[in-house]
Order: sequence, then structure tokens, then C-alpha cells
Amino acid sequence: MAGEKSITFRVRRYQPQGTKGPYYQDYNVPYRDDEVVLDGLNYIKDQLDPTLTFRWSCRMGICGSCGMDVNGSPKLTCGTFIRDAGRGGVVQVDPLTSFNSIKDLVTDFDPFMDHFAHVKPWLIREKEKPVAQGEYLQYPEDLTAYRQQSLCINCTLCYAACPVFQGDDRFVGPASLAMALRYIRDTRDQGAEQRFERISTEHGIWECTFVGECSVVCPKEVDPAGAIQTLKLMATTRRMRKLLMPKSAPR
Amino acid sequence: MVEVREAVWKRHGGWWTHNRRYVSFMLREAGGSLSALYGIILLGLLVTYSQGASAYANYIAFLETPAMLVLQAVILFFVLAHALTWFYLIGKSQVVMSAYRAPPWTRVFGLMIVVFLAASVGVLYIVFGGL
Amino acid sequence: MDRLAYDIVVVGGGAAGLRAAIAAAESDPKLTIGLVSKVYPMRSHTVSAEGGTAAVMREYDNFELHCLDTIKGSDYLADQDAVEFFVAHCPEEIIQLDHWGLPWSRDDDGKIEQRAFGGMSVKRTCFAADKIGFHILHTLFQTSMKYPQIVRHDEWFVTDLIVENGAAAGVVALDIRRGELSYINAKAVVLATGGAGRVYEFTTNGFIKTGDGMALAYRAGVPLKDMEMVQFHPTCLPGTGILITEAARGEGGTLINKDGERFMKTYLPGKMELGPRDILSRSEIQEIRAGRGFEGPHGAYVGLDLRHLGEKAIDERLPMVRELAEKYLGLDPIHEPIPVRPGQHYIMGGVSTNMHGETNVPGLYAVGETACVTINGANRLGSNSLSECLVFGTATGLSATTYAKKTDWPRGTAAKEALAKEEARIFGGLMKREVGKESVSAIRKEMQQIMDRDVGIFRDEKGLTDACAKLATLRQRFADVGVADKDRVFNTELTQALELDFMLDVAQAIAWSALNRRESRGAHSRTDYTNRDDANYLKHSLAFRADGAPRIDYLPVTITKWQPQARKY
Ligand SMILES: Cc1cc2nc3c(=O)[nH]c(=O)nc-3n(C[C@H](O)[C@H](O)[C@H](O)COP(=O)(O)OP(=O)(O)OC[C@H]3O[C@@H](n4cnc5c(N)ncnc54)[C@H](O)[C@@H]3O)c2cc1C
Ligand code: SF4
Ligand code: FES
Repeated sequence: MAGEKSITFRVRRYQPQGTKGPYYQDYNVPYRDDEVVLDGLNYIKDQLDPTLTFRWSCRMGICGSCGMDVNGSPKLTCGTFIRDAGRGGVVQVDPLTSFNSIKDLVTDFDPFMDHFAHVKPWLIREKEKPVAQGEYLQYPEDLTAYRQQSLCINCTLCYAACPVFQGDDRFVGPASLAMALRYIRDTRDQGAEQRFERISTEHGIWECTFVGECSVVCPKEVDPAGAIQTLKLMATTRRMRKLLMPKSAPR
Repeated sequence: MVEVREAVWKRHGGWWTHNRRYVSFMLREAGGSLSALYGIILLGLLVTYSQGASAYANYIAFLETPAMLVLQAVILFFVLAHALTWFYLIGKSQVVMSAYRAPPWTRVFGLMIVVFLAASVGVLYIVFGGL
Repeated sequence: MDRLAYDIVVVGGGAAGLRAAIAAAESDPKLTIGLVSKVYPMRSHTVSAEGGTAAVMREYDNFELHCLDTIKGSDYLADQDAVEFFVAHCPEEIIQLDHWGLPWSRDDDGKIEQRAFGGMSVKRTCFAADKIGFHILHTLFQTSMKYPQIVRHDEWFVTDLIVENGAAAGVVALDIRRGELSYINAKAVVLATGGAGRVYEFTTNGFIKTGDGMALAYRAGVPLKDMEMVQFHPTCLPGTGILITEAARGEGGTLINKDGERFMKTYLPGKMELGPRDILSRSEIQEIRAGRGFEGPHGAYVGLDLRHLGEKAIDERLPMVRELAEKYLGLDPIHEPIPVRPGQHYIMGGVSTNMHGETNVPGLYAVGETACVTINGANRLGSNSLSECLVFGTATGLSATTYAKKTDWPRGTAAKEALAKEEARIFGGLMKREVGKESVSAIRKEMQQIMDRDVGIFRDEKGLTDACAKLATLRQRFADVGVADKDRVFNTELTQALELDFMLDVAQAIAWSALNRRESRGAHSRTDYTNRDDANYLKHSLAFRADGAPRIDYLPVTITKWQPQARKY
């Protein structure tokens, strides 16, 4: 990566077995215009300091492992160009906010996994259809109804951006709630009732104050903020129907 | 067993000053409360109107005192901020997926402004003009 | 240290591993299944697959045709009984995924839509826009969360297999987060660790594809089959190696040289851009060598032209292609051709298994890209590999279940020995060693460059001999590698060193197998032996680990109905 230009990477370090708390370390990184922040981190790891610790794999914005705070905003580092990130000649890289850091830029991912599992993110059927009977029919417009929310890569940038989650980590949170909508809207699914029981709660959709930042930072246009507002509307109409027309209440 | 000590993440007080969208969120929330205040002012108009012409005139005069004018200007600012940040959010979130791509947020934002202006012109017309 | 035990341990949370775990969980709810993966399962590289997954689903298609395409694509090196089994089971896997919620792209009649793919004679590839791998992985992963008997060990790195009395008895794994080794006892072990693309420098594969499972099995005495068969994909972005899916050509994209000509008309007029990958990749290199490529900052390339497809088709069917081109190249394929060149993509070879995923070690199974059944032979057809992960994932999950049910728990003595050995190797050796002149990144880079240069698309005796010798030196130099980061917790320098150790084994197996196959077949193209030689090489190579160089042996190919013929398109 021998480029003519160079820039300072200011990286937050933290060694759990060391005696120090988190601190910043500066590295001088040469770069080309087509290189991303992740390339810079790999340059540091391979050439300057093998102890620098971060997660990555696909380098094409689809595996969701390389989320970090770049100059204070949650980003996929494999999709953020160094040329755009530099601010006053410095690229500051921190672990994603909202989560504890295990080491350097690696955050604790388990809290997310727990919230995610909470919404039952799988297709629920009252009775499974035997495979021999073929596929469920689903029309292109049925697909459009849930496609957007099915694109979530679980990168947790939205959690990092959410002030509600920052204030209360019991909040189920943007991506998980969006996933609930993804299954509820799927014509093959029959689990809406079970999911609303889990999410139409104090720490579920009703804790969201619609800051909207999750949808701004989401790299995949999942629009979790929009999804949560939709869920609020759906939960309310279901509730009203149950009250007014108990017999015709939806499943 | 190895003890794994994590660096605990804490949010500090001034979090909302860190990014202009958080600031605008705070503005929007404040704008929401302040527009309620403006509702009370409007209610005052109705109440004094029902009490007769002089009460109404007094109230109008009160609203025209410098302090009240400043207050109303401040409220107007927040209400506008509330509306505009909402329009921005609607463009950014709640995206209507046309075909397979979200429309650029600027287009949604622009559309909302146009609707907003049209509605305002409509109201002004009703108040000052005809019907 | 934890003492853990499961009836079945599945190593790998990609399509193959997840499918195997779910099959086992569904077939007997009383079984306990441990799912060990060095990354959270949804990070597995299955996620990056774009194009689609093959199955005979429509009236215009039939099993015979899918078999023939696959076998011809493989240049007759596939085992035909395995291909027949594979083809017959693809459709049910597609439907099963539909029942688990996969967002298939649909026709107007509500049925799963299919698209054209290279080497497939009809539209046979089911897809979900151009994110099929992403959707398969997330659908399987989310479905796996339903089963309480599947216990996950996320971010656990398997370092060794435990073999007791000649049978697999579990694994030794490093809990990356705590930086501790543990053993996991098991009656059956399924390796589903994916490919080994990172032995090459210019590859479409993610950083985690380091051939760990291949090396684990190889060290336990299982041969690696057909390792010389490495697929190069014709359309990768110069610089990063990011893949532009074959679906781009399936949807009508064309390849052009700097004069704007569709150069495939000189090389493969019958199929043009929808020929098999080995032929396309070679054609591109020949075109570039003839001076008809474009020049760019990352070397010469050819153009992938989608302009005539129009914005609507691109957005509906190839949104990720547009996203990647805009993001990484700053160009919009609606207006400009995309620069592409061939890059390493897939390893046809792998841990030698039969159709049930069984290896020569009882209780040890392998499946997915890490295994070699073989249905791919000398050249895999695009979109057969995800189907392979699904079909053989199920088959392997079921055979491991049957085996585990009739097998007793291992006694555990071998586990303790294996753990002690790994403790000594890793924490006593690698971690203790002073950091000297050898570094993981330098040796890795040298290995990758050797593989790109001498074990790439075109090969010859001299280059391969050279590569074998150089890899042997790297193997020796690796003994001096130390780890600078002494903090055990989440030590990625350590895991990268362990991965390099595995990759060096895999690279040697590839180079030696390639050196010994003195013919050209499918992806293995020798400039000194340009013809296919059925008399001597209609057989699988087997590489056995030995001191120094691997020992190469051979195994006959199973032929059922389709006699080898010249491969003409
Ligand atoms: C860019 C790209 C596009 C592709 N497109 C297509 C396509 O359109 N159609 C198609 O059919 N095929 C395609 N393929 C091929 C196909 O995606 C892969 O062959 C397939 O996904 C492999 O799946 P797998 O389950 O075998 O391995 P992977 O998905 O790679 O999973 C490997 C798993 O093993 C785990 N693991 C590895 N080592 C260890 C260890 N030491 N300890 C613990 N766990 C470990 C990893 O954590 C991971 O969970 C594509 C491949 C690439 C790279
Ligand atoms: S919703 Fe968006 S930001 Fe949140 S995890 Fe999913 S992809 Fe990431
Ligand atoms: S490395 Fe996979 S999303 Fe960035």
C-alpha cells in the first residue's frame, strides 16, 4: 500500500489484561484514494503494530463485522474511504458506541444477539407444510412488503447510533425490531401475535422516541426507524380491533 | 479461568451535542412541547373572544407587548425547526421504496416543503382573503 | 477450562454447517449438537455469494440435463453417482428454504424464479436478487435459533481434532474471547469450515477463508482430494478482488476489450459470455496478453458491459452489482462498463469424502466447500456450490446422527492429551516465542504471491516445482514466527498465525497435486501439457500429509452413464 499521501490514524486502544484503561494511539498511514479505513487498519496490523485488534472478513459490506466509530459516527470501515474520513488530517477510530469493548476495537456482541433472538427471528407456522407439497406462492408485491427489512446485516451500527439504547440497554433496539416486522409482513408467517407479545412492551417498540438516527446510519437502507413506527401503528390497530371487535381480531 | 475485563461504555451528559442530527432531535422534541404552549395561546384567543370584544382586544394588546412578541418568535423558530427536522426524517426514514431504490431524501424533503408552503398559503388565504 | 460434550460437534456456521446442524436437530430432538464457529455464524463467507443456487424446478428442465451440465462442466472429473444424488435432492432444499422464509425472487405466477448461469444449458438458478448467499445464511442461521438443542460456541477457533482409537472424538478449540483452550468431546465431528481462497492474494474470498478444516483433517490422516482444481472467476474488481456475480452475465452482460469488441466470439462463439468459468478466465488473460485489455492503476483488465440492460433491470435484479461498482469504483454500470479481471474464487478440491460426508476416519465428516465429494470435478459450475452445501449438509447431518446414535461416548483420555499438546504448541510455543525477524503478515504475503504467480490460471512444470520448493522454505520459516501480542484475550494475531499454519499445509497440497497432474483439465491448465489425458489422469488426486512433501496418490473416478467426451461448447 505504498501511496504518496499519508494520514494519521488515531485509534482507541484497550488491552483487557493490561493495567491501563482505554487510550489513544496514533499511527501514520500512507493511502491511496481507493482505499478504505479498513485497509488502513490492516496496514497498521501488518506493517506497524500486529497487536491492533479488530474484526473483519468480507471487505465488501455484507458480513457486518467491521462496524466502528469513524470520527464519531458509526460506519462500516470497509465501506468508508480514507479520503472522505480524514478530518483535519486525522482519522479517529473508536469501537462502536453503546457496547462495551472487549479489546481495542472489538465490542461485546452478545447483548445484540440476545435482543435479536428475543423477537423470534424465524418463520412461525401453526402447521408446517410438507416439502413435497412445494413452495408457498408469493407474488413480487408480497416480497416488496418485507424485502427491505430482510436486508439487515446485523452490523449493529443502528444500536450504536440510538440514544435510547445508549440510555437503557434493555431496549430491544432498532435492528431486532425491524426483523420482527420483516417476519410479520411475510405472507408465509403466522407468528405476528407471538411477536407482538414480545415487542409491544415497555422496552420494545414503545421505548422508541423516533430519533431516526438508526435509519440515517444504516448501511443497507433497512430503515429500522420507519419499521418501528409501522409496528407501533400495527400494534395500535390490532389493540383497537381486539377491543372493538373481539370476534374478528387478527391472529 | 481468565478474567475478561471489558471497557465499560458510558454515555456522557452532552451526548446530544456531538452530532447535528442529535441536536436537531433535541430541537424537535423541544419544538413539540413549545407548540403545545402556542396551542394555549391560541386557546386564550378563543376564551377571551367568548368573553366579549374588550377582553379580546386586551388579550391582543397583551400579545403585542415586546416580551410576548419575542416569546412568539422563539416559539415560531422551534415550531419551524420541529417541522423541518420532521420533513428531513421522513426523507431519511420511512422511505417509500419506489421500485428497488429509496428516492433521494432531498426529493422527499423538497416535496414536504412544497406541501407545507401550499398548506400555509391556503391558511393565509382563508384568514386574510376570501371564503 | 470447560469440559464440554455433544453428540455431534459441527465446526463451521456457514451454509453447510448450519444445514447439517439443523438436519441433525430435526431428525432426533434428543441429540445435543455443538455448533462451533470462529466468527458469529452470519459473518461466514457464504454471506457474500451473489448469483444464485441451482435446482431443477420447472417443466422445461430435467435431472439428466442438470447431471450432464455438471459433469461436462467438471471436465469429467466428477463422481457421477454423487452428481445424480446431488441433482435429485436440490429441489427439495430450495423448497425447504422457502418454508423457512427465504425471500426468493418470484415470477408473476408466485413461483420461485430462475435465471441463466454459466455452463447451465437452461435457466436453472434460483436467486434472491443478487444476495443469495446472504439470504441463505441468514435464513439458516435464524432458523437454527429455534432449536434449543443446538448450542452455539461463537468465536471459538478449532485448533485440532481429537482422535481416539482411530475414531473422531471431538475437537480442541480456543475460545477467542477468553483466550483459553478447551476440549469438546463428541461422538461425531462435522467439518464445515469453507474454502481456502486466502492462500491466494487476489481472491474473491473473505479474510476468514483459510482452509482450517482441510488442514485439520489432513493432519488427522485424511487425504485432500483434487486440490489442484482451483477456480478462478472471470469477473472480479481489480485491486480488491470483490466479485461481480456471474448473474450479471446471466442477465445479459457482455465482456468487452479495449476496442469495445465482445472478445468471447474468438474463444467460445457457441456460448459467448455464458461459458464455464475456467474457459472465460483463460480467455480474458489471453486477451490481455494480446494487448487488447484496458490499462488501470491495478494492472490490465477487461470490461463487463451492462449498459444495454437498462436501469430498471439492473436495480431489480442486480442491485448489489450497482452498489459495489458505485461504492468501490465510483462508477455507475448504467453508464460505464465495469473493470474486471479473473481472481481466485473457489476450491473444487478438499477433504476427501463420499456422498454421506464420511471420511476415512470413522466419526469424522466434512461438507461444503471444505469437502470434496466430488460433484465439481475439475471445474464447478456457478450456483452448484450453495446447492451442494444444502444437499450434502442435510445428508451429512443425517449420517452423523445415525453414527452418533450407535456410538458410545469417547473415554476422554485422547482429549486430555490433545489439549495438553495444543497448550504446549500454542501457549508454550507460538505465544512464548520472542518476536524475531519472521512475521505472520510477511510469510502470508509471500505465500500468496507464490500461489498467484506459479499456481494460478496457467501453470507449468518449472513454476510449480519452484512453488513447491518455496513453500517448503516458508514452512520452515514459519517455525520462527512469534506473536507480539501477549494479551490472551481476543488475540487476532494469534488466530492469524494459526490460520497461516493451516494455509501453508493447504498451499503445499495444492502445489504438489498440481505438479503431479501432467495434463490440462478444467481449471487446471498446464502450458506444458495442454491436452486432457484420460488414459493417465481420469482419476482424483489424493494428497496425504507426510514429512516434507505431501504424498500424492490417486483414486478412480466413478462413471455411471456419461462416458468422457471432448468438452465442446
Ligand atoms: C464472492 C463469492 C460469491 C459466490 N457466489 C456463489 C453463487 O452465486 N452460487 C453458489 O452456488 N456459490 C457461490 N459461491 C460459493 C459459495 O458461496 C461457497 O462455496 C459456500 O458458501 C461455502 O459455504 P460453507 O458453508 O462451506 O463455508 P463458509 O460459509 O465459508 O463457512 C465456514 C464456516 O467455518 C467456520 N470456521 C472456519 N474455520 C474454523 C475454525 N478453525 N474453527 C471454527 N470455525 C471455523 C467459519 O467461522 C464459518 O462459519 C460464492 C463464493 C464467493 C466467495
Ligand atoms: S438495521 Fe441497518 S444498521 Fe441496524 S444492524 Fe441492520 S443493517 Fe446494521
Ligand atoms: S468486512 Fe464485512 S462488512 Fe465490512
